[in-house]
Amino acid sequence: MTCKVFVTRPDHDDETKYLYEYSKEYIKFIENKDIQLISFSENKCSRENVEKLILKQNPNLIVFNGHGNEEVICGCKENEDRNVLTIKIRDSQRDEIIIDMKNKEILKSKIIYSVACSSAKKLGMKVAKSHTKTAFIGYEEEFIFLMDTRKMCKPLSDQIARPFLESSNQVVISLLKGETTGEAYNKSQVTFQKWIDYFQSEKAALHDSISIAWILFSNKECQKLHGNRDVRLF
Amino acid sequence: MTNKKIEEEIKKLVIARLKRMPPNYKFAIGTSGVFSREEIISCVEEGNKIGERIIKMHLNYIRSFKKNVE
Repeated sequence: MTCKVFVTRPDHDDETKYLYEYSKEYIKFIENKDIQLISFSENKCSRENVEKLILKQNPNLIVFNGHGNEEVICGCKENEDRNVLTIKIRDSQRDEIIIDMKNKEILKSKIIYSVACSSAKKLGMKVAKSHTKTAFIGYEEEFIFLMDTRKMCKPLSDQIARPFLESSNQVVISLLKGETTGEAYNKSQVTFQKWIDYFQSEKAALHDSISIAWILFSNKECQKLHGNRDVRLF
Repeated sequence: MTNKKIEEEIKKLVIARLKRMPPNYKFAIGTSGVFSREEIISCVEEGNKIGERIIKMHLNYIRSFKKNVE
């Protein structure tokens, strides 16, 4: 049976654009394997589309890129023509809620990786309890990263953002290699630590040591795995 | 030293560290948005939610050195 991976990839602001660009790195990896990839970009990332896709295709792994909070995961930017649930992201922006406490059951018995800020705290915890096969990896606080303003038009060449997003991507890469959720989580933690060690060493410029290590440490500390540590994609 | 004084000293320490960051680095803080170094320093000075989070992150990081020594 072919393994199915579903990735949400909205890209309507600077943060989601970075997540979108860096997701290309594991998408390239998927394309070289016998895995069916279903990728939803901005225009498809509505609650209705996401629910339908999950119920119809029953993906084994779901990766949520986008905004969120302790109780919700978001997709596309609010579309004022449709009457949908949204949360305020900032003064001029509201994003559509694609997963919340009401529809969380659709994630039952799946492996989930959510970069949506704080979504591991309440939502992830509840989702993980829905079935013994469910695993939820995410962040219990905001996932914070740095951007170099000189590289914002080419995020993949932004060497300041790379340590954050490479550590995050490691979860997905490990799962795609057939490793367990526990191994994927541990490898991501090791990647965060590898970068922290680098920025604490003499190899890094002093201004980067001061700028980056403490944020990487915070992301590492608030990254959590809830639920089954022994499930794998294949 | 009183708690208030300690808090002020901690704020000064965090701001001193933030000032060493290159001005072209921006913070992407989830749903809160993207912030320049100066905006983050203002958040710490004001003591708002983002400022409190930045202070907490710094303190947790600095405390991790103590754990490593123990």
